[in-house]
Amino acid sequence: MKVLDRRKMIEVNGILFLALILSIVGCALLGPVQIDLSRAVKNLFSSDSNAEILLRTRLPRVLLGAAIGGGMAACGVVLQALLRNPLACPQMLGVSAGASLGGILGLIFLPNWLLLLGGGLLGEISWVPLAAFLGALLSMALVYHFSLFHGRLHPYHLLLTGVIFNAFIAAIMTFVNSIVDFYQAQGLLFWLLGSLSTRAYSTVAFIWIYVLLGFFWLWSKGVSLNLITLGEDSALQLGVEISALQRQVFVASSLMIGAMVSVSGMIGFVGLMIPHVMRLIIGSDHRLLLPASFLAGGIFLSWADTLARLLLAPAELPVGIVTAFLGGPFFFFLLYREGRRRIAL
Amino acid sequence: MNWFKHNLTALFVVNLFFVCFGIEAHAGEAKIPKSVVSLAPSVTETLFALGLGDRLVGVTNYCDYPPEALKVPKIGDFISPNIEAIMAKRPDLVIGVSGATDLQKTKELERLGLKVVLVSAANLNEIMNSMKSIAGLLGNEAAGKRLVMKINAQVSEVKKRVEPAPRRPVLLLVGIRPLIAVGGKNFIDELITLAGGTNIAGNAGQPWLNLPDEYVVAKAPQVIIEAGMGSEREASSKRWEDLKSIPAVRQGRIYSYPSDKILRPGPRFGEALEELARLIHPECFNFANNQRNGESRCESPRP
Amino acid sequence: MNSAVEIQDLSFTYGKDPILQGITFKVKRAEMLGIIGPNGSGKTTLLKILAAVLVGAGEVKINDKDIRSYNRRELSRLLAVVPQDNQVNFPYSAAEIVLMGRAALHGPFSLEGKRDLEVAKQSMQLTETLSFADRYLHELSGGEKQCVIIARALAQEPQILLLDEPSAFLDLRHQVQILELLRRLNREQGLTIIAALHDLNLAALFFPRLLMLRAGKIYRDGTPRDVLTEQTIEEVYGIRVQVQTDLSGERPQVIICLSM
Repeated sequence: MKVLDRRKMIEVNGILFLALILSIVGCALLGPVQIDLSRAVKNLFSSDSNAEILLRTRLPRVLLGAAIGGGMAACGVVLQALLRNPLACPQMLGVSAGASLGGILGLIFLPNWLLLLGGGLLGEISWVPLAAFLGALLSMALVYHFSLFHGRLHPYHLLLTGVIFNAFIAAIMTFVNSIVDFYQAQGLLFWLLGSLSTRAYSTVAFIWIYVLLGFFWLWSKGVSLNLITLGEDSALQLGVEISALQRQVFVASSLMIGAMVSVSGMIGFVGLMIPHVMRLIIGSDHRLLLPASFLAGGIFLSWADTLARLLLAPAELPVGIVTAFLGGPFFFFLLYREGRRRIAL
Repeated sequence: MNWFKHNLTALFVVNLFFVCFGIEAHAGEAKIPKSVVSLAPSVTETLFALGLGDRLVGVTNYCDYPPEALKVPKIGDFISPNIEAIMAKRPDLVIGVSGATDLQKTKELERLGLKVVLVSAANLNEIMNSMKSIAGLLGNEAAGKRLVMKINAQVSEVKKRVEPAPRRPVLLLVGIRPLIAVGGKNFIDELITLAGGTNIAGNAGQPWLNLPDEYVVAKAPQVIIEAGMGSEREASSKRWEDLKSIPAVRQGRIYSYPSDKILRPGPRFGEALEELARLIHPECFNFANNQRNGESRCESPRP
Repeated sequence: MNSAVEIQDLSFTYGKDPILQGITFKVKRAEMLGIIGPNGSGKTTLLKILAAVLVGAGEVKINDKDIRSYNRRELSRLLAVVPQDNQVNFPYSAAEIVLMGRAALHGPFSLEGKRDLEVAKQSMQLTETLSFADRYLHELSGGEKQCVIIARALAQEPQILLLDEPSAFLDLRHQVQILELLRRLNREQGLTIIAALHDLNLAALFFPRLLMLRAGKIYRDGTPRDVLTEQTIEEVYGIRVQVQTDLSGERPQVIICLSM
């Protein structure tokens, strides 16, 4: 009888953790510009261009990518459980769209003096990401409110509300796009397609702490997440307080998604694809699926960002385009090979 | 014999068509347009610079120079102009910029019977030709020639000044978050070259591109110019603080520049060129001081 | 302190429709009760209220305590439910499903231990599902799936077992097998069993007490002989039958009279 035991947990997570560390190092060493590694190491703390490229332009964004990839994947796992649908993804909740809209509106309408105030003090945490986060919170509250059905978050309603919300916000964004001037419109692309370009370690640290807290909390709910996928009646009688769990998971993942989108714009496909790929490889037990997806998501996004920097050098592609191009076909390939054997839908 | 008759008939019909069309075209060309709608700020500026600004009956929301342009009624923005507003003015001529004005709108205007001309702004040469052809369209070729001569003089002056100095790598940004730089194959890149600089992103195939920070560090520009646009008003020098290996950062040569002047392919580009050159090679514009203070002179280092 | 389940004047409405009205009965410890009645008579709703999935008006006591005073984890250690349909959209193996029955006994971040695996194995042996422990649930037949769910319920080590049409998808051999298993568990381990059944004859053979529901009310409560008569069946089900006894002479068997 094959069951999840400590050995499997340690093996799988250990391998993935090692792969993540190697990916971070590898991605920091790659880029459209050649650097002299020995000189970089020798001059780590002086103003040598090699060291600066490595430490100040590449490493922060690779680390950010690892955090956001992991966070998105973890949110994807729990949302698929919550909605009892293996094809759910963070974008479906409407939260990321709300965050993007908040960011766009903040970019356009926040007054001069407000922007300048934050810019210097908090590194890159200026008021625009905060506006985005506010947008995320508002949309989360709205979607939640409209999906409540007899005191419980009915998956069908949640899904439907999220999709409608997304469409509505997309319409607003298109409208905003048509009234801003030509050059502001370029900035909108950041929100719609994502970018990991960051240089402040303060931002990176903030996101890492935030994502790790969220992830560990979700991981502690692993057993309940297993049970909730069996169906409401089964979960209830097996001891799960469904309403409370739904509420908590929805809020936790929305907060995580909101923060991530505020910093990096909308990066899609990670939350949909990684959980599914990991499920095909290691099974559906959420106690292992969550940490494994978290680590795998970090690996995936770090490499996606590296490709985004390399493919059209010297120009940089929005990372959301890379995730879509990588994610889609690979996913179909995996599905075709293994899917018919293992997925029941 | 049948096919011969067939073809002859066809030929006859086609000929007739061309004759009628030709007559119509001729009839159109005989008139000099008295009312003009401009679909781009650069076109508006050109018309005023030619002294023909009084013929404008409609301009875009962004046409803010010269100040007289603000008094002309607005007809929408330059990517998507308002067809009805334009029709209401019944202009004799509508002038837009190819590549910027929405082609579908252009076709719609033509279908509605208006005459639309799109001028090119692909490079400096074409910009100058555009100014001449606009002047020609409005029946004042002499004004066109004068304007072009004036601008050419400005350009020559700048070229002469910066000629002895070594080329400086320059980064010209039009966006901060994310970093959007001016690339190659466009007139701004040419301006940088004329001003004695080398655009570090100039070898890119596209006119604008998203640049990763590491590229900027690697190319070590000596001058960074931020043509602040739209709502990019964040305190920019703080952004570069920690990248001290970049010469522009070390020497504090990070400048803001009003975007309109440099981004509009219009008659002010001669002015813009000079201001750009002053930013890139200040030493070439300050003869008296140079000699007095022993500052760097406007020359290449001696071998 | 003898009743496993005690219900007083229970009623339940869904929107404006009254599904259950004035339901009152007691089930003693280690009793086996079969609930019968036509579709729509309220059997499933009654079981859901006992499982605390739905909440009705009236008194419901489990082990002499009000059902509302239990938290869900406590309740799931006392009471296990085998629901009627089990649609799962995710690929779990039979063994994983059975082990989920042990969830209420553990805290967060915990993995199953030796005892859990033993109990799961035992439950699967009893339900003859051990041989496909590692196969995916969606690969199994309807009947095999049902047996796995029963194994999961047994893995909870409950005192009370609720089943909603446990024999619905099973072939005859498995139907008898499962009901014999239930009888054995009831006799050997004192498990209290309450099952909703649609097959009157099997109900009469295996359950010493039957509760017949009609339009949300209790129509008859008693031994199969008392409950299954030609009159009651015609009243409640609307078909004419002949009632005879089985070979032992003790239990009634229903034979349908077809009009030619």
